[in-house]
Amino acid sequence: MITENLHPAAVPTGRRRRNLRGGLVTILTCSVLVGCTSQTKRIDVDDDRGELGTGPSSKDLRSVAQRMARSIIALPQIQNSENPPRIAFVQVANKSNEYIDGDMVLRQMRTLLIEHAEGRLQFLDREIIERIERENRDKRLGKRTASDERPISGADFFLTGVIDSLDRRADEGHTTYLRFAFRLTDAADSVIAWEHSYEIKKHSVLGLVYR
Amino acid sequence: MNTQSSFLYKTRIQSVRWLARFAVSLPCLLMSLPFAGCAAHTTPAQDHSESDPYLREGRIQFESGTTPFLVDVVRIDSGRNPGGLLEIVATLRNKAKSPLWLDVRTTFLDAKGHVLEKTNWQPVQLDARTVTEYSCRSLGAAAADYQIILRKPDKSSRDLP
Repeated sequence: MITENLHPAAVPTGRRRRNLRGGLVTILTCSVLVGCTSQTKRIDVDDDRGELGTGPSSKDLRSVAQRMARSIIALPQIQNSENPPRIAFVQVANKSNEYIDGDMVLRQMRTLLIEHAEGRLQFLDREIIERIERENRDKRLGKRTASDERPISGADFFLTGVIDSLDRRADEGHTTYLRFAFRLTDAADSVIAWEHSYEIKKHSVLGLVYR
Repeated sequence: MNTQSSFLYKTRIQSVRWLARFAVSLPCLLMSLPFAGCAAHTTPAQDHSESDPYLREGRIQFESGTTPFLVDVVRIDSGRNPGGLLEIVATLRNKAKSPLWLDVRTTFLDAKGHVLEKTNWQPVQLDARTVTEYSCRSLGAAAADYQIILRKPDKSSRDLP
């Protein structure tokens, strides 16, 4: 229709057709590339949708820490104590097949309790104990200024835990049972004052590509 | 005739060029307008005064309208333990014929109705056609009130027979 009124030169020749085709291909390629570009979105810390596998998600680890912190705070030894009990961490034993930093849960518990438990518990920072001892030694030697001299606090309780797992094949996939168990042990007589566990079981069927 | 065709051709080419320029410049202009607006002004916010915004819809809330068709809140008990911590026990009934996983979040509020602490979205399994208890305890004694939100009831990965 358009070509009827156009100058003969305006009628698409082979070269023009090639140019037109090239333009269309460029536009299509650009639109496809725009669609395929990487995207980063900020998501909720408890969002585990679309995560593959049967390992624990951030939601699981946060749930474990929340449950443990809210359970430990109700302990009579903590509720009825005149002086807040002092707690030191002992590394969590990961006996599962998953790569999990068990101490991450301990650290999350500590954050929650220090933030919200109104000083009912005190935590000892044993991770930097060597640094503290060196600092105190330097203070005694006069290399550092010292406001007051106090001995390093001892622990009333040790907080530790264990992560166990059980893996099984099931229905073209596999299941993983995970058990997080934490305990508070009296540092004086080794009696376990508190223990609480959190269990997770997940079933995952991976696509053919991932098998 | 030939001159007329040539004139028409030139006019069309010019129109197409103008259209192309317009097509490029208009979106650019439109896109730049909000930025220009943002850079120049801020808008004063309206303060719609609410005494208890967290509790306006009640202490127990469903995130979606479909959740009440699947889950019933049959009982809520709350009180303080000897240490002064606020304890809540919610009894939930799964009305569906398959087990459900529900995300539950509890927010503890202080005496003024501000957020003191809140849990993460904790997965809770509700067995089919029966009741399940969900309990939560505040970490401090300053918690005066609470709000529980139930969301996203979903079937478990494998339905029980």
